[in-house]
Amino acid sequence: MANENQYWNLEDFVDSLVVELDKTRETLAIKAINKPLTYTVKDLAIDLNIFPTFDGDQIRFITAQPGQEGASKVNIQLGSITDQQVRATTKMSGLKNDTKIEEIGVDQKTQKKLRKLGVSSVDDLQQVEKKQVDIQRVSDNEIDYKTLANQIQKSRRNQTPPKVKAVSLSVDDQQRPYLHVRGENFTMDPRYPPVTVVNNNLAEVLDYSPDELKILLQKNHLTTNEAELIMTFDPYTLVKMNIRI
Amino acid sequence: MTDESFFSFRQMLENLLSFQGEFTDEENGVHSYIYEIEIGTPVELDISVDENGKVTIGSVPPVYRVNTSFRPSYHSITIKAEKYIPDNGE
Repeated sequence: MANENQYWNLEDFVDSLVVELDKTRETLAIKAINKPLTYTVKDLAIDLNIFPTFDGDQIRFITAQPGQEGASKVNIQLGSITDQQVRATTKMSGLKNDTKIEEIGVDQKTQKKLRKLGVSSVDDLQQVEKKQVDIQRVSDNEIDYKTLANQIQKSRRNQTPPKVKAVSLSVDDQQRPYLHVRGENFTMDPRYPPVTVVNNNLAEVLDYSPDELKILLQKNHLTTNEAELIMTFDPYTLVKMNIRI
Repeated sequence: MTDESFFSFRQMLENLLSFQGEFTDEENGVHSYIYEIEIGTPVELDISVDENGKVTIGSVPPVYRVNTSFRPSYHSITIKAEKYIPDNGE
């Protein structure tokens, strides 16, 4: 007699079934080395007598126990497919640059809504965007797309934060002093030109690129030996540092 | 934890597929073998779930042939198996 039955969800059950099936195939392949006439599983179908339950969030199942009547039937069919078919029909998950939805700091409710739409990563979301689908409308306005897009940008920016490697004082062709800031990942989005403030006064940016910035200095910037330099490269990045001039 | 009277699902599959599929009639010089087989059987399942949600499937085909008033819940399984041919075609 089995132990008391427990609730399980379909994904975990199928995962376990697939793992068992894979192990069986491996064992049978080894057996075939010495025993040429060996059989391997081609297809497997399983009919389960179960009782489903819905907790308002997900559906779980419990297998019927002896003597229980009125159970529902679930039929699961697993077929074998080749490596090539797997590659053609499966989206590679866990790619280096692919960010999971839960990693970008969206709330649980939005995560669940997105998962129901088949969106589990930022890459999935981009695929949907490419098809010109209005996520906000599809989710009955439950997903605030603007907030979501901002969180994605913020998360991406966190993965490539700006790094300041050196700051030096130079003069340009017109003998005007400027701060030459060098580093990495400064301006990543052309929509947002950098904005700089030196000692609480806005400073003009003469030239910028992802790895350098030239900030024109005026008299009001050079009131003390030490200056506070603030640089923003987009809405998600702010660099604040003290420099000695 | 799976009930100890149950096989793991893998063990059950391996046992079901461990049959002699070759028939030789030396006298008449006939040699046949099974190249594909479909097995359907009722099974009892013991599905356990650990604290991480990992599901372990224990299974066993019916072992008693006594008709009782209180019968186990029989699920059913159909396995289609074919002769194993290695990938390199050897």
